Amino acid sequence: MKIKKIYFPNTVREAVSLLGKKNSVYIAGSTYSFKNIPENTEIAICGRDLPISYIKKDQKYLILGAGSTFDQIEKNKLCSSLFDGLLSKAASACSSQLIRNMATVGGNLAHLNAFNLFPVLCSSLNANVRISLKGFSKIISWKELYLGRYKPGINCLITELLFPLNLSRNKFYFKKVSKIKSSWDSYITVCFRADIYKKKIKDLRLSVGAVRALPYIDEALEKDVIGKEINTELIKDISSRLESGVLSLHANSEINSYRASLAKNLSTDFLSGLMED
Amino acid sequence: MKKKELSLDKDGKFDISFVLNAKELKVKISGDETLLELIRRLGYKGTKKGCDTGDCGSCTVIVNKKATLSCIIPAFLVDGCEVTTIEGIGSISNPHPIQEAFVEAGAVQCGYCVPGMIMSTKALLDENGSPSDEEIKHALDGNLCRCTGYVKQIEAVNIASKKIKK
Repeated sequence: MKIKKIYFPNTVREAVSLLGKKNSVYIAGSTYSFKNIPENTEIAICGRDLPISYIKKDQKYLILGAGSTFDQIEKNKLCSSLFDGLLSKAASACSSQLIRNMATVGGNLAHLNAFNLFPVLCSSLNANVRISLKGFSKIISWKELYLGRYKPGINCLITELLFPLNLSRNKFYFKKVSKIKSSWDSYITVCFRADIYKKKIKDLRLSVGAVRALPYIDEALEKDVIGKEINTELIKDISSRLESGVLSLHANSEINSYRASLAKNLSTDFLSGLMED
Repeated sequence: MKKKELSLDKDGKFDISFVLNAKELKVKISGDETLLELIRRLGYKGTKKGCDTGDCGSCTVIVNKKATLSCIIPAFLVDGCEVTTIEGIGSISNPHPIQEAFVEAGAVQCGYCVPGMIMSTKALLDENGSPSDEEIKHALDGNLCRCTGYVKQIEAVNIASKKIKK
């Protein structure tokens, strides 16, 4: 690569004005970009000095600045208390301390990859994302990042992740499991959420990560069980349907069938725990 | 001081300045140079190149108080930053308590991963002077060792923690 110019913008506005230049690349935490920079890159735009590394709460949302690192999230009091500490727990399960020190949530969302943690968390917690474009910023659903219109680091910048606080009655569950700790091939991440009121399911989200680029969810299943009383039979049904769904993603893959059985067992574990509550 | 932009000079290099092991430096770098390549080029060869993909931790240095993988970050990212390598914390004649502890605990065999382990330990103990064994494992989980195993290092960090407190 022949980098000719390097920018360290210190306002979002400035950073956005630099995006989209020919042969430019945006570098957030640097765990991904630098080793994957296209050969023709001439301009590097570094997010290092942007004021987007905060974690705060307002009346509606828990807000993670996109420059927040996994280490910050793991150790932050809001992240370790809200949503049953789900975000801290998940951040702590990410890769290694060295990666957690560098990797940012914005980068994790921007480079869609089956192994990234934040898509599965966003999917489970109905997250929104604030993006800045030339001249304005807007809030979109996290999923819209992958529909082709918004290209983080190219025509927009992810500046915040917004987790709605209206899930207070929910119970949360996060697990990252693999056959062996360092295996990239066999692991699965699950992020589950359920609102059970008077033994009846009011809301359910079973999000399974690391099985494909976007997390797997079965919206029909989640809709079907609303209003139903939680019991052993229902749990068995839900878990089996989740297993079948994951299995259908890669029918002849041994690793995928292992993941599918994990999805079944972990969802059973989660839902059984709720029944006991 | 951090600059807002860097441009190529007439030799096709960038000028950056940063603090390396408490010494202010101005150096010329190329745009594709990693921090690891830069510090080794400057003669600080205690920092090791292992996987070169951010997986093994041999290249760990401390950048602005955080243990950082020098093999995957561009050198230009440390412009205006403070970097510490293994040479910056102790020497053969005047070892740091962490270095002494690694020797005492027998946490060194081939030694290739040890500079990285020590830098991760330094960052951990600077932030948390009395880590539990679980916290030590968590903080060192990015530093791979293929000959000593992972028990002696935990012992070493505990010894170091006590030495530093004295």
